[in-house]
Amino acid sequence: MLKTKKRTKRTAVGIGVMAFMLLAAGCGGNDSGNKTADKTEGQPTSAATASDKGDAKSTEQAKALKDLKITRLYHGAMETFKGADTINSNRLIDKLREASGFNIQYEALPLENPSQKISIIFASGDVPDIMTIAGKSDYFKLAKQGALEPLDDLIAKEMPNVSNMAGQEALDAVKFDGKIYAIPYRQAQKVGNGLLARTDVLKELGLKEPGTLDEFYETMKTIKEKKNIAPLSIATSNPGYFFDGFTPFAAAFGVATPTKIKDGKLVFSWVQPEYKEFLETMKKWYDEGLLDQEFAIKKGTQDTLINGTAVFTPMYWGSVPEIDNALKEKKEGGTVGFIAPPVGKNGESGLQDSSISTTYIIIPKQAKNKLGAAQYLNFLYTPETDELVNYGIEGTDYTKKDGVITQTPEQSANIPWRSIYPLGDTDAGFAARLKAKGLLPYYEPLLQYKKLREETNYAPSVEAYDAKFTELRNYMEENSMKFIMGKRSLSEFDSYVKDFNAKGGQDAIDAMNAWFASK
Amino acid sequence: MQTQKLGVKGIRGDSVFQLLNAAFLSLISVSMLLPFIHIAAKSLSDQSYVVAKDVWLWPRGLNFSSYDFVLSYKQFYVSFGNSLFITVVGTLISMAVTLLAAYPLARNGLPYRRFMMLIFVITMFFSGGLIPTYLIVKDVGLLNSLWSVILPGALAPFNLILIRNFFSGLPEAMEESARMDGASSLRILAQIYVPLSMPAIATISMFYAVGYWNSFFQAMMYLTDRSLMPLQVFLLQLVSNDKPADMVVNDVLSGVTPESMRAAAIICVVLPILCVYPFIQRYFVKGIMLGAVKG
Repeated sequence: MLKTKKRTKRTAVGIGVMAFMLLAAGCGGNDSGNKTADKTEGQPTSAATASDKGDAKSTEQAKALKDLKITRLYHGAMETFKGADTINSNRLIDKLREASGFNIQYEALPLENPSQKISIIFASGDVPDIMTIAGKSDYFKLAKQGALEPLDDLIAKEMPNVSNMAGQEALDAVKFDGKIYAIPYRQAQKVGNGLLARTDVLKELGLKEPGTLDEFYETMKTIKEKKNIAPLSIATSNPGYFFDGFTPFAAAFGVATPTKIKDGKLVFSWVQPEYKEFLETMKKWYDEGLLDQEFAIKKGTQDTLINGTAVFTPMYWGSVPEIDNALKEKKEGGTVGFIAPPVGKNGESGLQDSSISTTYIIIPKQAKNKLGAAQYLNFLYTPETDELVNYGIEGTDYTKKDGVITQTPEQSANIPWRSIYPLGDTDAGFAARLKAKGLLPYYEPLLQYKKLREETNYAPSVEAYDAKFTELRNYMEENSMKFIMGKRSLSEFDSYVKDFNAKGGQDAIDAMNAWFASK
Repeated sequence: MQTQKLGVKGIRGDSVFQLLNAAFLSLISVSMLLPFIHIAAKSLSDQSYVVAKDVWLWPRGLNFSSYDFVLSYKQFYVSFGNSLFITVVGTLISMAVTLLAAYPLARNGLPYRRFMMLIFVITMFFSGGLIPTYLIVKDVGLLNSLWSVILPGALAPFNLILIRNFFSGLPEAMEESARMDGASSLRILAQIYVPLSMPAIATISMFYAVGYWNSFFQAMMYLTDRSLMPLQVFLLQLVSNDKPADMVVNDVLSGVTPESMRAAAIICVVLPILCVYPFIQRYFVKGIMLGAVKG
């Protein structure tokens, strides 16, 4: 035991030293990045050079190298290969190679801590030609270090199909110093969480689906009287989950997104008077036993609906089948369904818009085959390729008649790994996968509700804002929970606002407004 | 063991202490055992009970679908094979290197012995750093091969010190007489030192083996080819709490709840090393004890 303890200690020291070295190397990387940038200054970037020369000889295609290495983020579907198939050897990638003319090799970053591996890859200089990066901060850090290839020229010359994946607004949001360094990975999912209800309980008690916030309150009171349970369950124990849980209710007060527009300026929702109203209402619900008394320590709420200890809960649509199946198998039975998020007194309501992507596709500055990378991306973004990577090979994996594609669940389940190849999701592909899995009935009902857009998602890197955001959000969450549970009196809301602004909230929003005004 | 025999039987204080001690230790062992049983119960339960959080220590609605699911992964077997290779070959190599280094360092005749020992010890406190290490592994061409998990860390200086101390404790007269009989150094090591230090060697082998079985950091950093992933990386990917939207949509989690699948995966990974442990455990205890007394 003593020995293992020592070993752990040694590992701890080792990790500490490694972290320090990483930091040092990170700064070093910055330096060398700048040097590379200096070297190429005054002349166009090498990919552009290649294509310029190509123009001169009018053999643009031939200038791209044949080999192409793609490093993408981890994807669960990578574990689903069966038989002799692997990520780089199966009928789909063969087809992709044949159709694109490139010898593509896919590899994946680890699921755990991918940004560490990304740092190492960039520091080692042995970079792939295309890479996906998760997180706004990682992306802008690399762009700042000069590790990424500016894509403006390549997009203009080589990637006409990029519009299938990213609109101008999305591209503007990835600009650093006026240049585009990434293509945002398109997210086809429009909405995540909805407000799920035990519809059978509502029916049993003769209750209608509540429409307004007041009706919702009355409905909950009736349920509480008749069943003696806390009708609303929310799980907020993880940092950042407070708003995932409370969105449908905060939306009724118009404060469900971190920022909102007031008098033509951006303000933090969390310090507005209507946010206080939201907290007051939630506190009332909590005090009256309508809101789960354990919401602050809960990790999930699926069990409450299944066991009938709650009737309403905000839930990710992808998790509903689990609840549905569990209810079907239980002897008491029961049904669940999404209901409309309650409407507030000013007519406000909605769900979180989850179509914004924080995954980026980049071409490293030191990549060997930048032109090929751009051409391959363009090839991926064609509708034909999209069909290939979403359905497989016609005849084997799906049938097409009069332009209508049919894919059986078995055919779909036969090539679950296909979704690791696209670098961006299309609506058609997303719908196809959902349909094959029988998930459409859970997802589609949510599309009818209003989606709340967070304006700052479309902003480029604003340092004062990005650097402080997590800290501010955590401060807001911690205090909001205290306010609701009565551990801090709501009469102190003003001093909370003052603290919030002093902690960098004011500076953050001012910096963000500088961008907003220039938009 | 010794003190227990020496203690006078029948003294109240002693038996109260024994009782409390036993109660305390049982409490600790139960607290360590319960999570494991809980996981095992979850892995064997029907998914509806798992989602409803109705499973505690006994499986409800017994079924093996989670195991079916985990064992249907091709990657599971591939990873299992890789872990087995890394553990067996890694332990053999590590033991060979450790013994070959410990023997000369334990003998007084070796010049600059202390200096060399110092060099080994320094690496215990200062490492070269992640990026330089990565560059070396890359430049010697180990990247993307299972050897990158084994070779860079083949020798653990801490284990080297343990073995060296064990060797130092053996009487020098034995070596002298063997040398007079005409034995070479290698023969002395193989036929005198190694057989005499079997408990220590078994213990250190266990250290190395468990270390290799559990190693995932090197694998994560140096390996990109999925066919080389060891079991721990596979497990990490399965049990990770992150459930990105595309995973739900992409046929990965069909039919089986993530929770019971994770439970099954954990059991599958822990079980093999759990089976080996009882057989080595007796050396384990003895080895540490002897090492402590003689070192």
